[in-house]
Amino acid sequence: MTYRRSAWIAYLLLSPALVCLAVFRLWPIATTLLGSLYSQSIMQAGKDVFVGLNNYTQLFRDPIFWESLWVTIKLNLVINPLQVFIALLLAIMANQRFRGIGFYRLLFFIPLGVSVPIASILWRIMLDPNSGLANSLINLVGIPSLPFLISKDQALWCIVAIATWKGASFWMIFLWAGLQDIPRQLYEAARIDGAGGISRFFRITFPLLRRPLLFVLITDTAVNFLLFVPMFLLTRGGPSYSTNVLMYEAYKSGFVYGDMGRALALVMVLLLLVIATVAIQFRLFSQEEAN
Amino acid sequence: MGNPIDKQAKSTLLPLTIVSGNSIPLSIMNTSADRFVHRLSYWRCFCLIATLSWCVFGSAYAATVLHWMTLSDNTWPGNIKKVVAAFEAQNPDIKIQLDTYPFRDLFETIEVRMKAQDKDVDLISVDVPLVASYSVRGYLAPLDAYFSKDQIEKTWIKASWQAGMYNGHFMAAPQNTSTQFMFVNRKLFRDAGIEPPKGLTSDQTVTYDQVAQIAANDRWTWEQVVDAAKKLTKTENGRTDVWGFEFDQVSRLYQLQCLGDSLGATLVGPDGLTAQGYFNSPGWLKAAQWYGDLFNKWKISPKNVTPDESPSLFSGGKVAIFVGGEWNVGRFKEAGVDFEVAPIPYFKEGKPASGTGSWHVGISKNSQHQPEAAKFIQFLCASDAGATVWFDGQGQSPAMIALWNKISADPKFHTFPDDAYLLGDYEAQRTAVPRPLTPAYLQLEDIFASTCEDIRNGVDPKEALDGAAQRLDVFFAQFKR
Repeated sequence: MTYRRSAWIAYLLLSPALVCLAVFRLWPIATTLLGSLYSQSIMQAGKDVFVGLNNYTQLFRDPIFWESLWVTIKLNLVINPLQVFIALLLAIMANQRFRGIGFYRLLFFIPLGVSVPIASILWRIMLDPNSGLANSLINLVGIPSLPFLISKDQALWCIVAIATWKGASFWMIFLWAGLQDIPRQLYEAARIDGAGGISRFFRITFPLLRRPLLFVLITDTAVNFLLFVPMFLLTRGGPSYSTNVLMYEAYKSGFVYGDMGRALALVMVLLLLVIATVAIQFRLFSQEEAN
Repeated sequence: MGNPIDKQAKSTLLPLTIVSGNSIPLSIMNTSADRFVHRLSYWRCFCLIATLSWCVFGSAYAATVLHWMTLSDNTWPGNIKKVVAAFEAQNPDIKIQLDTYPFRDLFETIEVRMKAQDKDVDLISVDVPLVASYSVRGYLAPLDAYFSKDQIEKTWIKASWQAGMYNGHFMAAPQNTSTQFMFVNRKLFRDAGIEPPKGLTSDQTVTYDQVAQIAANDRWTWEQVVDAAKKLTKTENGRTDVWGFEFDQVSRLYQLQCLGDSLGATLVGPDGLTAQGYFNSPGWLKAAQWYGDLFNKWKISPKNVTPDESPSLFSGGKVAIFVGGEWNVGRFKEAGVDFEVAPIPYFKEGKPASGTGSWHVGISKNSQHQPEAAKFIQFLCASDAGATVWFDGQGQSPAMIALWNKISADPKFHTFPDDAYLLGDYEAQRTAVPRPLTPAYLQLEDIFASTCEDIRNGVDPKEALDGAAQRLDVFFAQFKR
């Protein structure tokens, strides 16, 4: 009886959060799933008609979808480890205590104050192949101008660089907070025992930072799978579909072509992809922790 | 029985207590404060009755507010407001509220709001090739009830009213049309010692026949343009200060369709839903190769310049030859550029072809005020008063026959730069080719633009066109089901 009563109280206290979860998370997912089963009928003056899994079968036959899927996977395979690695490096540097560290911390935080659209536009000006700062600098050292965002071989990596410049400093904050939770005495004891810097990192820092790292990795992955603004502002999915990630393709289907059924099917595929990736990450980290 | 004075006071105060919501103790009615409260209650009563009366009767006389989704770019909204002011002066019972969006965002917002069946949209600015797409998806209400066939044919030039038809219904009225010119910076030509093409200049007054002579006999070919542009491009230490040539709406279908048209090549098949064999036909392959060479082989045009930026390159003296819309005439005149206007070039082995078509206005199918919206369209597109205010402000080629007749008769349009409209008239009658009629125009336009951007950035034209044709056919297949 006591257990039942306390469970009810727990549910009661959790109910505002559960309601918000249902309204802002589960309901949109349900409507997206439902919407992906409908398509606009040209024969019925644009009326939405139930088409079952037709949007999905069309999607899987569409070469643009597979190209977009590959671009999305390629982007995420590089950007997630890169951002987490750089964020960790910055966090370790920010965690040091020496004269003038405040100035360096300020430098690390600067990208945080710049919004993604502004950062994209600034980088577009700097990466302009005709008169951009980047080419002026590389010309100074005798390297010929690079096309950057207008090259199908370079555009995706330019976007990775821009997103990392902006994202790494954000994720650094979480890892820095995690680092500050590690007791200093552990490092002192390890130093007395003769452990070197690398040994201290792998035996103390990394194991004790596992949870913040897991959080950062999972959240960063979810954010980067949905990365959209730089593609929208800088490349519009080009050149040659080299930056046409699933999120951008979904936007284009829904809002440019007016094909909402295809857009929602793309979003559902993206959702499954994120869930699968996050599940794998969880499993890998949990196994390591168990070991 | 009770006190009679109390009874009288009670009967007087009863409505007041109801109105004020407070009961006033009767025993304290004789003080000055009570008298004040008494008077205050009368005031409250008066205000309430006045407010209720305003709500009930005033609303009957309130103006109908129409919401119009239109452009926010450059001078467009300012000139639209002039027409709106003129309309509202004549129709005080109708107010027009503008919902403006930049060119790129307007189409997306129309998709979202029309899909949501937004009742707050009454009027829509329709880019003319989208009439079929919007009609087929039920976004537009037919205008047949407001415009008779006879009125339609007598009011607008044929190409414009035909472009507003879908399936035998008049779906959108032409607000204006458009044409394309070649603008030449005379100073840069003089500096380079090159003879400019024969065109319309500030040194002369012309008649329509003289303009027709220039267009028929002195029109440059694209090959001549490239030869001149190579000499006009100035590059020092790897940096180009002056570019020989530039398109206005870089990589957009409206701007570049003339290249394929000049070679007799169409972008889609006669059914409007076949790309393979048309989009990548030999004609379009040649046109695409030529377009790519401008940027990659001859390097006479700048890369990474957007349509928003390109006119300022010409007005800033950074581009010598500029092919763009007639709306640039006023802009370049205002910027003080020493320029001339020449006919749009063509390929040597082909025929002259120019872009045409512009903005139409339609009524949203979800509008609750369709007769009022039609009244505004009548004023803007079909009345001398409205169309003249719009033409005088925006300067785009009119779609109304009466306005063209006015232009031909007015001596002002025989001197530079207004004589450009005579050239526009010639192009509209002899060389204009409308954009492809397809319900999948949104997809066609988007894929055309990204393909041309790829070609501009160095992708092999054949590879780009073949890939695009294949992609388009996947989209087109959905419309065939």
